[in-house]
Amino acid sequence: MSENILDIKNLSITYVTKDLGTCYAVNDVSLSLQKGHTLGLVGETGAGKTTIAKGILRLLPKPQGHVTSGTVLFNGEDLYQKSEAAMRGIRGKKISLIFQDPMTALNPIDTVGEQIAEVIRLHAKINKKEAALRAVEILEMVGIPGDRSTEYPHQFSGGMKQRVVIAMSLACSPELLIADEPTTALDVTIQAQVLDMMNDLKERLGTSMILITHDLGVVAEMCDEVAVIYAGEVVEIGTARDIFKHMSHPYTIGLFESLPDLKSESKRLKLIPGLMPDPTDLPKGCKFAPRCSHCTAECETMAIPLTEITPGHFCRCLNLQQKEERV
Amino acid sequence: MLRYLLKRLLALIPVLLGVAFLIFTMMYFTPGDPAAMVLGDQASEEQLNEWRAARDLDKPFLEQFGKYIWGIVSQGDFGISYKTGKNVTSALLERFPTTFVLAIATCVIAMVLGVLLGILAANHQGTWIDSVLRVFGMAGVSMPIFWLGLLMILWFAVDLKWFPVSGWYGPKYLVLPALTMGLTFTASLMRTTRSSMLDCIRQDYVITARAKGQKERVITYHHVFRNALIPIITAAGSAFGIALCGAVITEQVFSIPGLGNLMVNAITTRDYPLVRGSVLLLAVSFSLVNLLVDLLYACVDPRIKAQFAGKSLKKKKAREEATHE
Repeated sequence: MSENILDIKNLSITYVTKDLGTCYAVNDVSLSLQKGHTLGLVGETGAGKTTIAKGILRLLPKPQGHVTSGTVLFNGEDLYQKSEAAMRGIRGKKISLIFQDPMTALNPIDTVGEQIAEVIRLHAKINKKEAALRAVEILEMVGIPGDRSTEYPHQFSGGMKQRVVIAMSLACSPELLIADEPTTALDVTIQAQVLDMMNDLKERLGTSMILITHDLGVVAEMCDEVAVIYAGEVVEIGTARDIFKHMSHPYTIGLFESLPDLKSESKRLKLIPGLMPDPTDLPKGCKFAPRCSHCTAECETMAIPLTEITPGHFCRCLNLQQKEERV
Repeated sequence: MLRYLLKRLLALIPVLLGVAFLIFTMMYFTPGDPAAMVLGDQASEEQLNEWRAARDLDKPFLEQFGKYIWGIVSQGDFGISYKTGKNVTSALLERFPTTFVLAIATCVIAMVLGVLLGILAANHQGTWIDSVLRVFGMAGVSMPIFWLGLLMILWFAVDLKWFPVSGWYGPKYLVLPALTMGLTFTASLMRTTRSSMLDCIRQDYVITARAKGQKERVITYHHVFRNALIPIITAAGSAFGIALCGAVITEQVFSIPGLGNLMVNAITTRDYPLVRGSVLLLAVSFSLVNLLVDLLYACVDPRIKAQFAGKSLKKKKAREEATHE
């Protein structure tokens, strides 16, 4: 218990808007992360991955976002019991966040040096000059020449901006790094560079990480554990090996089958038919039932529990037996 | 930067020439005889003709216009007022400070109140504070200025006797007219500020700042407000321009001897040189305010500054980008 840096228990988050009604973005999600490990959150766009990340840091958009139940324990302390001031002390210092889109994550009217120095000055008691020097050091750590710290974000390329964002989030050596699709907006060649850099820095600084992505290749490279998220629920969770070698949930299988395979001759990719359910009107039973080829009458009516298949590998499906045989 | 400034100032010349031509033509074709206005009903046809000839009013249109422009270019002569016989330049300079002071006071009120209320409304979007401010904004934008002026006089001058009813004899006389115009601009500036702030509040870099552990106060002013400034500066600039030119109604309501008042009187008496002079003065002021606004953009946004400082090769591209924004 104590070696877990983060424990999310039964977290549910809704967005309430006048136009759309209540949107159930995250439903009863429980996750835990060991110190020094990397947990991958995988799922389609709109599955609720980013909402979980924002939920951990209590950065949900106000007034729409509501945490309806659950606790988030960070080093055993409940983040939802903390005051706003205490949270400010944690954000950026102990837990920091890398955003999906480096193009918009930087303030266009501050120099990158100022933006890195900002987080340093918030959490370390040093003066402006020292913070600026630290910012230059950190920029160099992510491979950007220090003399570029006086330049503005618009003078950087996308990959360099993402490096700046990463530099910013690592500036205070956080214990936990939440990376929300850190490579989605980047070219494939830059992706590899950024991932290598993150892995390297993570090992050097001993940071634990939650990596949010829909890129299974990234997951394979980076993660120790993987949680597959569908319609705001964990549908399968286990070690990276469990998920890649013994995938059990029809959705996970569908995800892997939709990857292009160089060995096979087929020209068309397999895809999962249909779309994610409307989060304002989720199906009663299994959320994946409408798209699932193994769907039975039971799947549509009863809530499906997360069952342990092998130690540490959980799956939310009623038809496990069949698939075990199939795989 | 200096080159840009020079270029903009040079660009003023064709603008002013155009304005001069337009106002000259408009006055030329406006019905009404300045001679009859000045000399009165009793004057004989001979006297009228003589008066017109003395002021070249019997000459063809182009000759008159040419002489007018030449007078300005060669010796800075804007003509002599028909009615008072005074030099137009000195008449304008006499009135301009009044209007200018009023415009400044108006804008200070509008900018301080409008921006603060706009930020307040944006930070409390969807709450009762926002609703109250929205009603205030609607009322302020739609209330005619002369009516608001009269209400002000009624409450603060007649009933409460805090401020004088009308006239222009000291700082005390500035309060009510500045407040009248200021509140109108406050409303529009508040709406601009609110929507611009709301655009920026949803940006990713604001969440980044929050994720750094920054305080809400600093986020609002440092990250959101500074990024929201461009539309606010635009609105404030045009408010200042309008306050300079459009103080006509306010000046009438409060009997303030400003430029607006002068111009309206000049138009009704067909005092051509005075009308032309004041219109040109307003055109210059408006253009300079716009130039100032553009320069302020560069101070606020390094991306725009980079465009100004860019080499001449880059300039065309930069301008295209600026128009996109």
